[in-house]
Amino acid sequence: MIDKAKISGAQFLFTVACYLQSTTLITSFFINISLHDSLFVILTGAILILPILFMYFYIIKWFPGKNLIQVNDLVFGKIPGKLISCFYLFFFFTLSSLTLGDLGRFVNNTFMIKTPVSVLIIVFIILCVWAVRNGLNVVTRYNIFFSILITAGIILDDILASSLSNMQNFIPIFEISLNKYIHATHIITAIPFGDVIVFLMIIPNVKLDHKKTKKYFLIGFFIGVVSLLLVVFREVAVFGDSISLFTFASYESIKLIKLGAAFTRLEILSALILVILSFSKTVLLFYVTVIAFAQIFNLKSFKAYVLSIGLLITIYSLNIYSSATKHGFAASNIHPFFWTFMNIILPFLTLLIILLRKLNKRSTSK
Amino acid sequence: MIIIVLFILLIAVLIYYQDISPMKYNKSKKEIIILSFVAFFAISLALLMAFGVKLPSPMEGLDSFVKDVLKLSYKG
Repeated sequence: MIDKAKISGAQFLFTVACYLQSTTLITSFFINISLHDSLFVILTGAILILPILFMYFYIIKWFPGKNLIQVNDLVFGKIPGKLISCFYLFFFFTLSSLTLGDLGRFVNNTFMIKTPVSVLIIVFIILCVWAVRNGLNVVTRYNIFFSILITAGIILDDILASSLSNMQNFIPIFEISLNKYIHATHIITAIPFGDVIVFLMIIPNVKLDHKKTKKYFLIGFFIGVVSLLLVVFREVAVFGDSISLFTFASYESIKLIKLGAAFTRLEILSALILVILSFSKTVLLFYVTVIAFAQIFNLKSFKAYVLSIGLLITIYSLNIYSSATKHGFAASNIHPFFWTFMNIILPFLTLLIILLRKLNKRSTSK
Repeated sequence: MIIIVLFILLIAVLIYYQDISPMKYNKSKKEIIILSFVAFFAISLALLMAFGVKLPSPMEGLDSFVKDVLKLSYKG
């Protein structure tokens, strides 16, 4: 292990929760397709991803103390393993850049309209560089506080928005076509839920044994899914099918809340929540990218590479898509396939090889 | 533009003094080569962007490959 830092179970649990809660910024990817049936889509996605999560834990169980990159080396052999790890490195790098870009554009579109996106992204990356250089403990330490604060914020927002809600917006249920249902479920299963594969990079740093780590992971996942359901419930209850008009529907729904003359512009609460969540996700992805890079090249330390990789992530996030429309189209229609390959097919291949070797060993010992 | 270029050069100096220099004392030649390559690549790209050169995006290329070659897309 390059980073010898150990994190507690609580740190791990709330990091998983925070990671999934940050999905609330990108609900537009699937909500534009599933509209008022989005709650069912999330539930279906959460059920479908469970066997995949168990698969991840089955893989990691065979190699205690090893992360995804080390597992690839051991399962596929040195050169093919490095090649597959390079795919993962590109994937983590792209995820970091996309999240950082989304964060910058969100702040620019909502409350810092006159500040250029590049300036916002640079400010965020400086903070990320500082956190990543200090190791996993600093990357995950504040997530306990963030997650509790954010869960409270989401519940408060839901209560405040209840006066604007219309339960008629949820009916008729299952109105969208089967194709659209499958499409939206594929997006949510592959992109936000499948992305939890990044935790295979930090599981060896958790102080707990395998069984407890799995339990804490599933609790964190459950908190994340419930938070997402609460946010989407509010979005649909307030906007109904016109939800597809907004990129940041969660933020827009809070914008409508007015409590007398004193409490207006409460959307700043929602914006703060989304910024904190995206920041915690970016830091974790950045850390995972640096660790994956250091592990692929067998480096002694990862800290020296943080600033250079941070600069690359900044450039990539500013340059990844020439327009927001292209990004939105790709995220809804093309990315689910690439993400499925990285999050489901490659780990499945790893599992298959592990099982074949196990069978082979048994037959030779007989 | 001058401010952006100066900012990028400041990062280059920072990388040299904070990251590359300590490696010289550890005599880790391989690490110096890898870091120098990554830093040089990052600084070059940043300078090109600052001068207004439009950089190709690997993600847009990958999207085209998935959509047009593998024919995997929900919308054509």
